[in-house]
This record gives sequence, structure tokens and C-alpha cells, in this order.
Amino acid sequence: MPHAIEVAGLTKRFGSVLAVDDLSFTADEGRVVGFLGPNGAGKTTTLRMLLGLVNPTSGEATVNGQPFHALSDPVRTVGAVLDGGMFHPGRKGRNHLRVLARAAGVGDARVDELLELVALSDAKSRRAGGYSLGMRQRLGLAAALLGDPKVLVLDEPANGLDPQGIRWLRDFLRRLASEGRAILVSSHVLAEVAQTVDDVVVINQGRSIKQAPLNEILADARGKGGGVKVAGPDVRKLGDLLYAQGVPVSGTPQEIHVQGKTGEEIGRLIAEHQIVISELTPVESSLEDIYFELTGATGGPS
Amino acid sequence: MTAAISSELLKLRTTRSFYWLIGSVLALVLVVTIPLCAFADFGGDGPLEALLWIFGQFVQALALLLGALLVTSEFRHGTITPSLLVVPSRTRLMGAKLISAIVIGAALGFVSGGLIVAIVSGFGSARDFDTSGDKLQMIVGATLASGLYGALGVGVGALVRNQVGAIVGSMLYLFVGETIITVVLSLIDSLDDIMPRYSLGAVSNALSLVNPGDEDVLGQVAGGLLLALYAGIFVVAGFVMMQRRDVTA
Repeated sequence: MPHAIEVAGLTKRFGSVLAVDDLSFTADEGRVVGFLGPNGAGKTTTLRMLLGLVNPTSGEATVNGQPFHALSDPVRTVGAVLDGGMFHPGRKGRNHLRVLARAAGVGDARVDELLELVALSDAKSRRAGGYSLGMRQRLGLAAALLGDPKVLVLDEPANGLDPQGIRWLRDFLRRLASEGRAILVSSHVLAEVAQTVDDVVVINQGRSIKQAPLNEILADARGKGGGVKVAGPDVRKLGDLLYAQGVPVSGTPQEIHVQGKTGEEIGRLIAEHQIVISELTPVESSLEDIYFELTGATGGPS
Repeated sequence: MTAAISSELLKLRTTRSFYWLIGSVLALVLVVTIPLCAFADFGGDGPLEALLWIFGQFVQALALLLGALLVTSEFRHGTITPSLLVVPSRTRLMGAKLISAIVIGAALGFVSGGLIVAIVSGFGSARDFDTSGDKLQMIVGATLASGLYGALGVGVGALVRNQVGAIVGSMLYLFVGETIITVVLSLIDSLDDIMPRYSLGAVSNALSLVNPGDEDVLGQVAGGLLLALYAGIFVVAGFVMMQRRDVTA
């Protein structure tokens, strides 16, 4: 059986810019695949190639083994939200869905059912231009689900959502995956999707740099030490001492982060110099750290 | 294809600008035509041809505008993405827009032309002024001309994509550009009959059987074919561009 989504050797060049470089990955039904990378990594371009909106320079992207253009019933095969779904600001939410439903041969009853599902029934007669970001994302999701497809492609669906909206989205996606759908969801924030995804594909500058189940990545994260955090009124003195020894130290006068020393080593130093501290905690390498390590980001804007 | 066309027509009907545009043009037709026919003194010639000519220009421009809006509005608001997700074939999507624009344009031409003919005929028989003219042919011509302008609009929109650019550019050409070119060319003896015979305005006048300047114009069929050719060139060029383009927003 073909993969729900298969991207093979996909490459896209815009002029002199290589946006996507020989990218390959797959997504299968019942799994949520997180497609991660910093802004400008080539995520959106990849998804647009998968959906036949951007022509690849080379390589191939298929849904159920077929290019998007060749699908006999695209709306019932794959649904997508790109850039938060896009609306005519003067068109009412329900009419936006009706327009798409009509082209897809889907009845208005399904439109109302979906409005209910994404909790937009109360706002369906308002113009989409007045929708909040969260409402727009939900309207986009409803459009993607018009044909009840088994494959979903979502580009940054959590963008601009408040914490409540993110939780709603997370539960919603888990529910959709538990119904046996394949979901490919892109994000530039790992934490947004960490509780939702089963597998992770990380890309940077158009190239795949890591593909693994999330569990594996989490296990890696636990294996690596992330240094020790020390807080207290005199930690500045401690920091100076450590710094003098050539130990990497960062932080504020109240709280420092020490790399390459165990908690015990630091504790001995504290006792020796009679420094008052309020907290000494080993730090696990977080998912974000792993992500930064993988994407080579330094924390500055990319 | 029927589903895609029905969706395109619904797209138009679910925005306010569509009703504003159509409503204001039809209102203008009534507001000018009725008082004019009711009160004005006409000399030898009745007002039929002049009214059909002046409003024909407006209605055809509106048809072009609506055709261009069908395409450019999708790019402006990014709805081209969801539209192509439900209708992945760009030729089919653009074909649906083309047919919708022709239908809407033709309907506008028919209604406005029919209204003018009916009002002029009604007042003409009551007030006894000249209402001669091949009315059926005139209505058919107005209908076809507006339909073709709708097609032209879809072609221009697909080529230009930028909404303001497409609309401002085509309106400037229609209402200013052709006049300037006509004046300039009229100064050159060997070229002075090109614009009065072959310009967009000239061929649509020929098709609608209005010739207020009594110029040496093309026949109705020739004018119609030439207008169809102009629209066809833009439509084909626009479709080819659409086919090759990367849709990134």
C-alpha cells in the first residue's frame, strides 16, 4: 500500500535560492507527523508542492501514491490549511465554506456540521474579515475537512492561537488522528506540536536534518545533560569563580546556568567559598534545545 | 465543471461589491434614461443609439471589471489556494471563471440593453419621437459584447493578477488610452482609420450596432468576431500564465 504522503527527492529552486533541497519523507495513516523547521526553512514550499500549487524543480510528492493533480477525488482524499486558510474578508464564514463545498460537490448540510465541529456555529453569519486569528484557523480546518479526507496537511495551524486555542487544536488533531487519518502538521515552534505529534521531520535550509519518532528524540534529550542552574543572592560570586576556571557560565546576578560541571562539583565549590544559594538544579536538555541544536539556530532571529 | 461554475457564481453572489457594482450601473441606466426620454426634446434622431452607446461602454467596462475581479480577488485575498485545493485543475478553475464571467457579462448586457430599448420604445410611442433601429439585433449585440468583455476581464486578470493593476490598467486603457491613440493616429493619414475600425471600443460598437459618429465601421459580425479574437488572445495568454505559475499566496 502506498504511503498516505510520500515526498521523494523533492527540490525547488526559486531563481538562485534553493528553497527545498532533495527532501524525502513519508507520513502514514493514524500518525501525526510534525514538520518542523525555522521560518524560511522550506516547509510551506514543500507543502505547496505536495498540493500541486508550486511546481517542483525535481523530485516528486504524492498522496496515496498519486500526484495531487492526478487524484480522482481530491477533496475526499486530502484536506489542507495553508497560511491559516484564506478568506475574502467580505464573505461570511458559512458562505466561504459553501463556495468551496459547491465546487467539491459537497452539500450545505456538511457545511453546517463542520461549523459545529470547529465551534464556529455562532459566528457563521459574520464576515470572515472580522474573525479572530483563532476563528480563521478553525474556519480553515473546517474547509480542509469538507470531504472528510483521510489525509490532512496543515501549515502552521497553531500560528497566532492563544493557549486555549492551542489546546483545542491539539485535542482536535489527536481526535482526527485517532480516526485513522494521516496528519502532516508544520510548525516552527516545537513546543506547539510536541504534545500532538508521533513523528518528527526537521528541516533547515530546505534539507532534512532529522527524521525520527518523537519518543526517540525525547529519549535522546534525557540522555544529554543540559548543565546546572544555580540561583541565590551570591551566585554572581560563584559565577566569577567558575568563569575564572574557564567554565562556561551564563545568566543573571540572581540565577546562573553552568555548563560542563556536575551539581556535586558546583556544590563543593559553594561550600569551599561559603556562598549562599537558594537553588541548585540539574537542567535536562529540553526539546527546544534539541531543536535549536538540530536547526543550528543561535536564538537570534533567522 | 458545472460544480466549479456554480461555485464561481456563488463566489460573486456572496460579496457585497458584486451587488453594488451591478446595482449602481443598472440604477444609473434607469435614472438617466427615464427622465431623458420623458422630458428631453429630440430633434431628428431619437436617443436610442446614443443611449445604447454610452451605457454600452459602462456596462461592458463593468463586465470586464467583474471578469477581472473573479481572478484577481482570489490572488488578492489568497483564496486561490483553497480554490485550487478543491478544483486542482487550473484550466478547469479558470474555465469556470471564464464561463461565469461570460454569463454574468451577457446577462448585464441583455438587461441594460433591453431596459434601454424598452424605455425608449415606450416613451417614443407615447411622445412620438424617433425610435427606429434594429432593436433585436441591438440587444443581441449588447448581450454578446458584454459577455465578451467579461471574458476579456478574466484574461486580463489572469495575466496581471494584481487587482489594482488589472482594474486601473484596463479602465485607463478603455477610457483614456484608446482616445489618445485614436487622436495620435488620426494625425497620420495612412493610419487614421485603424482605431476607428479596429480598436476595442470600435469593434464593440460595431457588434452592438451603435455608431454615433457615423464612422466607417466594421459590420456586426466582423466586429463581433474581432472582439472575440481580442478576448481570446487575452484568455489564452492568461491561461498559459496560470498554468505555469507557482501559487505561493
